[in-house]
Amino acid sequence: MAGVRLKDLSKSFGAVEVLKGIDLTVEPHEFAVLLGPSGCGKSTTLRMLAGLEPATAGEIWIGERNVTNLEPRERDIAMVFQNYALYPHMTIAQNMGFGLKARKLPAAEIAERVKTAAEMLGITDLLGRRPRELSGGQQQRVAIGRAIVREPSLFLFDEPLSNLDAKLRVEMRTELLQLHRSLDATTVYVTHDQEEAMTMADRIVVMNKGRIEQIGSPSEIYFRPASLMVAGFIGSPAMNFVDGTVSDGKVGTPIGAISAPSLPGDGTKVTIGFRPDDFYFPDDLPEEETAATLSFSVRFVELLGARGIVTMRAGDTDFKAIFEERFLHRFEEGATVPLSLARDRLHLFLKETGERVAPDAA
Amino acid sequence: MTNTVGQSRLASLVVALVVALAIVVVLFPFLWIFLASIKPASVVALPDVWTFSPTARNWNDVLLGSDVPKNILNSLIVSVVTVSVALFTGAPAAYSFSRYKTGAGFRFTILAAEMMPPAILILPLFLILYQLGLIDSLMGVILAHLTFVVPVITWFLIGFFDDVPRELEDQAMIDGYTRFQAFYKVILPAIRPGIAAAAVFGFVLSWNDMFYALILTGGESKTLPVAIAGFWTFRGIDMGKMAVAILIAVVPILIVSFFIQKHLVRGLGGGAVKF
Amino acid sequence: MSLRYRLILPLTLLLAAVMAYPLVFSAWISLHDYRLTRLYDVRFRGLDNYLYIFGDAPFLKAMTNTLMFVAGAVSLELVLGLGLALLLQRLVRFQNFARAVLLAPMFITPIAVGLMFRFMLSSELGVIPHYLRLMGLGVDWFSADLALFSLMLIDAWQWTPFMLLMFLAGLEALPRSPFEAAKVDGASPWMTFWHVTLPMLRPVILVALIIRALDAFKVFEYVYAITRGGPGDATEVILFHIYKTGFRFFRMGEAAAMAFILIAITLVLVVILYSAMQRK
Ligand SMILES: Nc1ncnc2c1ncn2[C@@H]1O[C@H](COP(=O)(O)OP(=O)(O)OP(=O)(O)O)[C@@H](O)[C@H]1O
Ligand SMILES: [Mg+2]
Repeated sequence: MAGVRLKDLSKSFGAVEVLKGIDLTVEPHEFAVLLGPSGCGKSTTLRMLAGLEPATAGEIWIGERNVTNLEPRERDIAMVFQNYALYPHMTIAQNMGFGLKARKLPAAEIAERVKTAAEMLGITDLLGRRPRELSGGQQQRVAIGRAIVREPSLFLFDEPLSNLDAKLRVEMRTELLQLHRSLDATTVYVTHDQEEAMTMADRIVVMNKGRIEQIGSPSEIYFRPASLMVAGFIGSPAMNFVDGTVSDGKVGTPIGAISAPSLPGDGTKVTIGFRPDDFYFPDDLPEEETAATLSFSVRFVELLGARGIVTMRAGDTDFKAIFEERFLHRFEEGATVPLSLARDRLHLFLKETGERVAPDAA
Repeated sequence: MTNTVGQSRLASLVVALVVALAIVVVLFPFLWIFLASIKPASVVALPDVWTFSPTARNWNDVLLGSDVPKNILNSLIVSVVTVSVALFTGAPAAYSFSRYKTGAGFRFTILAAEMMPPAILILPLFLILYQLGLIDSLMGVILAHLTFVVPVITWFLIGFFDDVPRELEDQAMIDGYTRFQAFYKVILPAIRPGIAAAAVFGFVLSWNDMFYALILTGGESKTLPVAIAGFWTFRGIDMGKMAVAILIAVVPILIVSFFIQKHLVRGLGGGAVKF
Repeated sequence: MSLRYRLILPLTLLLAAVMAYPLVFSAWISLHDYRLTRLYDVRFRGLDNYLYIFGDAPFLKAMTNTLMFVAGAVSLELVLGLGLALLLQRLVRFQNFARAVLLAPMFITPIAVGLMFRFMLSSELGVIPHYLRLMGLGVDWFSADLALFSLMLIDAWQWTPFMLLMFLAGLEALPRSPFEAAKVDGASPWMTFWHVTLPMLRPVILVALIIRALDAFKVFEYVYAITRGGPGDATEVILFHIYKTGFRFFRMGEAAAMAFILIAITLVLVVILYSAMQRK
């Protein structure tokens, strides 16, 4: 298995600059996920890694080889597409064996490898059928099977689960991860589904507008987002934000003063972020850990089962908080409720650049 | 939009009757010509004879004692060669138009070529073929038929290539093929139904042409439509034999065309009109 | 050369040989006094051929006949095709069978159609005039007054199916919701047709109309099979006239000039067609 290095990789379509200098290292055996909003360049990055799009500038290394100018077939990779891209005129077995045939393997070995892969994925019964006779989930398995028979040094996935229904999607996540581990593979996986990224990735690469915003483990990305963009993109419901100005060791905001550790100099404009799970009832939080206690007026409550999302107002901004069901009776519509924020749960960003200032990124 | 729900019985009946009438209008000429082909010579020219003892004589005469088998062979050769050449040149071009969105200029040229009136081409073609000594040869007709079959087939295939997802080609390249191999090993087979429909449609067009063939062929090289026209001249007609020849020209085409009906609209739209 | 252009190369070469070269040659012919009988004496005439045919009564008559034929036949086919498409949609049973049968005529060779109808409509041998006579209607279908109209009817028999094909596909592709909304609004079938179906079908109608018109300009076989331009010049259509001028009278120069005028008309229609298709 090989690692991947992208060095200052750029891509323009005509005058439009789609990727603006990507630097990324994926270690061997790692499951790396490219995550980001629609149009940020995830697919483009993956397609360049596959050799389907030429690089405008920069280098691509797979293992010890500089593959920047190699054709897809010379890169020893396998890719699974969102729409599966099964050959409609071939049987499932032929689909899976096609790449081996291209590499001129003997027919017996092709059959053997197809059979093994089919058993792994539980699709042995389907081998004689054609793609249109298969359900979406089955087609998905075939597409994955086609990738693993090749025994490539690198697996690429472009939103492979996004056409499946919710339940199947969750099942396939687990299965893909097991497959990744048992094959001891290196995987680069594109998705715009953050839950998928959080549950599957060894490392997440958050992209935005053709740049990398942050690279880190799922917990680093969640608990120490490196920028406003990452903070706002990861987590559902999204992180709450309020703008303010630093003065006297505190941040003055329209909804009240908030104290925070390691603040920048007085007068700096900052944005404070706190997740919906990070509200406390004032009694539950010791004084020294409290950043501020603010009052919110309740607008409405959405019950999600064991928990509920409370939408509340302070100043002229809406905030969302998550509480367990047994606390929800405290949030009657129109009521004013005091809630506290914990110092060590705050995220502080420079308003101007969106850069994280506190607490430190690691 | 199937809107049969809530339709009254009466309305359904009227619809059925009108459609039935249209079917009669369509089928009657075929029936009449079929009857003519098996009528004895004595009654074929009478407009109101419905009962007679059928004879196979016309069929015998045409199939065994006339040039028609030769004409059929000529027509077959012309159509098959024309369609083959058209597919070999048209399919790669159509793929390029579809895959690379190759300029509107090219597409327009293809459409314009498809619609070109034969009047403009027949004069120079005739003179060129005349100088090449190719008048009264199948080669000449084939060249003439290429002028309309090639653009039609090219235009026809664009739409089918448009329907192939880009990823199929990407996948083939990752599987180990060059772009061109991906085209002929994966994309072409994937649109086999479209290619078959285009081939049949081109075949029908070539098979049916009389204008070019009339001017460019003579004795030995006559195609079937020209031969059919020859049954009714100012010198007289042989209605029974003509009926046989017409049926021979028409029935096989009706059968093959049945299979392409559902692809026809996609093809005629040339990737531009999507229904 | 990139693959993109290599793929087009064979087509380009072929079309250059069988179309571009003849076109240029044709343009050259149209500027000369080019007679098949006097190939040793081809003279440059400039635009004289064009000037001549513009004052040439038979040519103008052929043009008029053709335009009338195209307008008449195509509008007939439009109305019949649209009507049949709407009816066929409402047919409860045998829809596929009816559709297959009704589309049949467009696939067969026009010369056969011409001869079949010549046979069936002929005054002496024809089955149709015979039964019309029994009903007290003496109609001579190929008389000077009626011949062009009869040819339009024959054209409609063969080509209404094309319109039907296009409209059936167009109707099938229409979204259902506007029709349901019209129903909820209490619109009568007639109103629905005028205000919902027709406007939504307009792009398809336009495309079908132009394709048919372009094709109808090429009418030849029916005339050749039945009337040979007669009686008199009643059914002399442009392609037949060019054929006669070039290959009966061997006046290639004039014939080529006529063809170029036809091309000009065709090109205008193709431009409209192309933009109609792109807009969709
Ligand atoms: N062939 C192309 N020509 C021009 N622009 C392109 C091309 N392919 C992609 N783009 C543009 O590049 C940008 C990035 O596209 P890309 O497909 O990589 O986004 P993505 O992150 O995969 O988004 P999504 O989540 O929607 O799949 C988009 O703005 C897109 O419009
Ligand atoms: Mg994408």
